[in-house]
Amino acid sequence: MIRPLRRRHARAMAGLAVVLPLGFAAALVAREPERTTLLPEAVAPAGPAIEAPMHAVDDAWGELDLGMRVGRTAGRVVVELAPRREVRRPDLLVYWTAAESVGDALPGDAYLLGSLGERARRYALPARADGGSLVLYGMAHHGVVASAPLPR
Amino acid sequence: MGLEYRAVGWNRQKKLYDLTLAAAVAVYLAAFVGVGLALKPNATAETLLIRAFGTAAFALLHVILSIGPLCRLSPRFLPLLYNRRHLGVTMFFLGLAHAALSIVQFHLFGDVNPLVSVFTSNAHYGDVADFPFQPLGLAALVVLFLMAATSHDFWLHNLTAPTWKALHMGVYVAYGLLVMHVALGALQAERSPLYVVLVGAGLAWVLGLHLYAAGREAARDRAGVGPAAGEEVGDGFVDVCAVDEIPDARARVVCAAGERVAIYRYGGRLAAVSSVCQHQNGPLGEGRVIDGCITCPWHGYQYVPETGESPPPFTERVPTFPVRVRDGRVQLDPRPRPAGRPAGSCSVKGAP
Repeated sequence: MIRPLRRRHARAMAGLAVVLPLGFAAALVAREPERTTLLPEAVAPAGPAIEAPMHAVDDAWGELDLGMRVGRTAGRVVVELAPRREVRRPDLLVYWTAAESVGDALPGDAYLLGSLGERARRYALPARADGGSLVLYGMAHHGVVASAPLPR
Repeated sequence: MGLEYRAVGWNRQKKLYDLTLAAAVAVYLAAFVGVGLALKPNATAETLLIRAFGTAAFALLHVILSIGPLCRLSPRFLPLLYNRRHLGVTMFFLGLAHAALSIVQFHLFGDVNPLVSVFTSNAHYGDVADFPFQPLGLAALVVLFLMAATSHDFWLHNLTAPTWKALHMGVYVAYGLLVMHVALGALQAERSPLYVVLVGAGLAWVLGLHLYAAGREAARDRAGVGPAAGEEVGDGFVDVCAVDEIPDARARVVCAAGERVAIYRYGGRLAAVSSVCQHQNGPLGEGRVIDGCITCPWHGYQYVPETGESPPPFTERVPTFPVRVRDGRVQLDPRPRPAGRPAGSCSVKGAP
């Protein structure tokens, strides 16, 4: 390496030695605190309240480990989905369908209720809903991830 | 050397080097995916491959950045430098695989062009914790592409070594971008202190090694000879050292007239040439005389000591300097001889 390049190299490294440690430290300081547990009870679930509970089940969603409560509010069916541990799927959407059983594809009458939250969230079903199924649909792979029947 | 264009001048050492490199990369990728599946069975294959390629590229970049200063500190590392460009091209392709898989996984299925999505899907440019780290990685990949694309000797010859070296100092820009890409990306999500320690130690190693080597080189440059140092002995010559201080087939490197000059001793004679190899500006003065030719320690380029010219049919040429011996002391004229008028050599006993 010729002398001017050696000097330029030394100056570049000196500059990096100042900038990079500062940037690295800033990135570490800015990290959000680690969440170790989900506390759905400590946070009021988003969505309408359930005035008349009808049904509660803890094992309807297989590996997703979601608690599900169903009830009525002002004549409409309301479903509460509460993750009991972190759901590592940020792409899940919640649909209601009149079908009693659901395959890999989303049924044609599927009605979008919203996205699955990391904490408990309530969804008001359409007025016509009576029974049917709740469906979790994955946007990343465009397929049904899980479904659960609803009581009539 | 400057004879004719060949895509790659393969030889046994280059083949061994590349086979070792390919095997090491394959073993790393397989081990990463295997251990990843064992520790996190729910992880998808795409995610594991993205991380395997990304960490392999980042680790290889640390190796590449360490080779230069390590060679300045000890010649034992010179075999690593011989084919360093193949390391760089390999690292670029690992980074490219990481980027391509990431774009497929995170940006391909939206309604925005995937490359546009990299820059627009996260607009929190004012938030450190949620800073869009992916554009940093993409910018680094562009820099690395330019370097990989111009890594061949074709470009080295056409751009000239100083310009080519200056262009390839872009690797430091790419390194800075990648450190921040990791710090603002993976380290925000992965909470194990092990990752912080690994990235921090890598950063400290690269910066510390380069600063230490640069400090040593600056000290060598400052310790020059010449009229400014008050060592002129007449006729424009300056005193350098005793003849016996130069081992046979080796050189004494001095800094004169603003650049390094190598005074070689070989078979009872002395000759002085520029210590800057014409190929990649390697340290010619740290080489040896092999088969009667000064041989660069980096890539084996050779020059005849008396003329500074590569033996036919090659065409490289380095400047030569007059040298003489008076009372057992080596004296150097730091004014380079013009092209076509080589400075020649002198006997170690003082005779022409």
